[in-house]
Amino acid sequence: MPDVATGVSAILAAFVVRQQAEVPPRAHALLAAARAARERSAPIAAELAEALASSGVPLIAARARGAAFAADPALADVAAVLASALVGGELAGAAEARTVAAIAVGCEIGVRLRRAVRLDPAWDPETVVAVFGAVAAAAHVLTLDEAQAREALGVAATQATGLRLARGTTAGAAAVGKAASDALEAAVLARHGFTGGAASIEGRRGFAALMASGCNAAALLDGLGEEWRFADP
Amino acid sequence: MPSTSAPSGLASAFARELARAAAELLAPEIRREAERSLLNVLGLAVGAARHEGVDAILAAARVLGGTPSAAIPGRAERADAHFAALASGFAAHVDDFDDTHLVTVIHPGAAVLAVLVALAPSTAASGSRALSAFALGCEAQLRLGVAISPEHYDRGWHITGTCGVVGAAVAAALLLGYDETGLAHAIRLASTMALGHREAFGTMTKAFHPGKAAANGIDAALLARTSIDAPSAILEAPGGFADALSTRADFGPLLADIGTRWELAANTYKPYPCGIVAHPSIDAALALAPDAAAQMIAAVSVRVHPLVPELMGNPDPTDGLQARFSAIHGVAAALCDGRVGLAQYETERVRRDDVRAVRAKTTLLPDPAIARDEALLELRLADGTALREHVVHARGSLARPLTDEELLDKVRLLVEPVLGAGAERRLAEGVRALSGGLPLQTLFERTLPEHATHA
Repeated sequence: MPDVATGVSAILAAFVVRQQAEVPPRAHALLAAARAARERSAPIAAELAEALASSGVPLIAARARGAAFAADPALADVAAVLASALVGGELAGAAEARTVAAIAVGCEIGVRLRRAVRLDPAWDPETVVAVFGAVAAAAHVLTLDEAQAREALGVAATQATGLRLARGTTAGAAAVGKAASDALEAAVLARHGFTGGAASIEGRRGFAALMASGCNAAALLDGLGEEWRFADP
Repeated sequence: MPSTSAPSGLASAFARELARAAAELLAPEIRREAERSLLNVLGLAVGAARHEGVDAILAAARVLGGTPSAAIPGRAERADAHFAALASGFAAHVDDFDDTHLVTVIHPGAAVLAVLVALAPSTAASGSRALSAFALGCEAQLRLGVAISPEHYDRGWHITGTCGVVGAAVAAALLLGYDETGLAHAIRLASTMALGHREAFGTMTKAFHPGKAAANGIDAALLARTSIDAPSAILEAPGGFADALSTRADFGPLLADIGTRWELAANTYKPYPCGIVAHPSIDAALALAPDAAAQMIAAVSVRVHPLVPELMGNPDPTDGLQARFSAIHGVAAALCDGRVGLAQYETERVRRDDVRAVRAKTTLLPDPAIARDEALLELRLADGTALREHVVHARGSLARPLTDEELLDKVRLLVEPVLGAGAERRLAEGVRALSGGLPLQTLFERTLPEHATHA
């Protein structure tokens, strides 16, 4: 059984919502890079947008941008976070500072999970953690409260995916865009009262138990809210 | 025939067999089972249409959705295909009262119904094509589930979500009129979109699983029109679907006799909205209810399979959700009300004095000699009268499937409060008329509340 401390999901949700500290310069740099990348065309983004044209604009935008960022080596490891923070920020009319903070919490959750969880070999770790970082960013930028953020984390966790065999394929890039869109949807659902569970990461039938052979709670939680791990890769 | 450049792999072989079956008419007995599954799950979707989780999904649709086009059973609002799939798949499963394939514990109908609801306006599919897509969408997920059972569910995956995505993709691709090449492409993409942790049980996300499975399946089918693709062996190779989701996979029976041997034929329909192991006890109590006024009851004892107290042993539930895991409540409600439907699991009903009093007088006696679908109920009245009822096979079990009349009565209790008297007959006639050419969209228009037609 994974050695996951109880209450992990609640602690992460609290961090996502309460984050007040000064964010590292890298979050600002990522926002600028994401905006610049939007100007360049990515064929996969156009294909996604055309095929899914019956969907709503925010979900299409999250899909297309997430997949395009995933194809950009400078942004690939935080592609879903950036897509979710940008689209969520536009949806909410968020101030730039809030969007930057959303990028910071999303990147932080992603990098900590990535380092803490020993995923089974069939999974591609970067794709699997994408939805967690993206839902953290969406919850922050849409100003969910703590309880809502925890439920959103549950709705997102149950959708974590990323087959190793698809890594590097067009389906793999599309999966990252889908993680951004799924995360945004999870945050909006939770904001309207949808429930997803209190222990989606650490629970007996939750993310770590199903997809990993272990989870280092210290790597996940130590210094959370005090030091930024994503700033020093 | 596949072109020479078509990729090999299990998804292609699966698609080839499914496409072959889709080109033929359903055999009468399979058509009938598909109709029963569809009617049952449609009744459930209507019955739960006003659930707060559906409200939340439709609120999210107003923020994130596209142009509303699809009718949502039991609701006045429409939604785009994505959110119509989420809403109807959720509603069909949320009461845990939908169809169950006992070997895999997959509830196949919810996700596939949701695909039909979502794609009815854009595909304008004929009724017969829709019924065939429904049957093969169920069949595909059941066969895939069999291949990875029981290890997959035992580890903690909600198989209704994980395998539901692939079944939904098959249904969507068939509704869209794809050939085997497009079908294989949709199956490959769907394999990368599985979802569903059992940790979500007890939250709205459990019922979100079939809804999102439907949305993902539609997604996979639409993306099969692009160059976006996954490797040909994504179902079976290391790093693929089965490797990630199960410690064991046996693909031997996956392809055999598709179109002639049907897992769908073993689909079952719950007569009562609670855990299935309590059903024989409830059958027995309902049989005695006309002869035993609740206030006259002195003691009730039920000999049951030992799993009953283990899984449903709560003697005195305090809300509707707890009551669904209380065999004693099911028996007491049957004796008090003479029926066991959703109304008997409303929190207000669960807490009332009359049913609490009967629960207090009821005992479960675990007995290894009693089968899982069997119960022996003994009841003593205040005047000393003793009554006894032995149920050998529960209603709704494989040995005693729900009759068409029983199924219609179940659907009546579900849809009447939403659509008014006689609605269950309109729905049943509509489902039966599909194979004769009734458009799918016409069937779903019959599931809308009266005022919706003027909205």
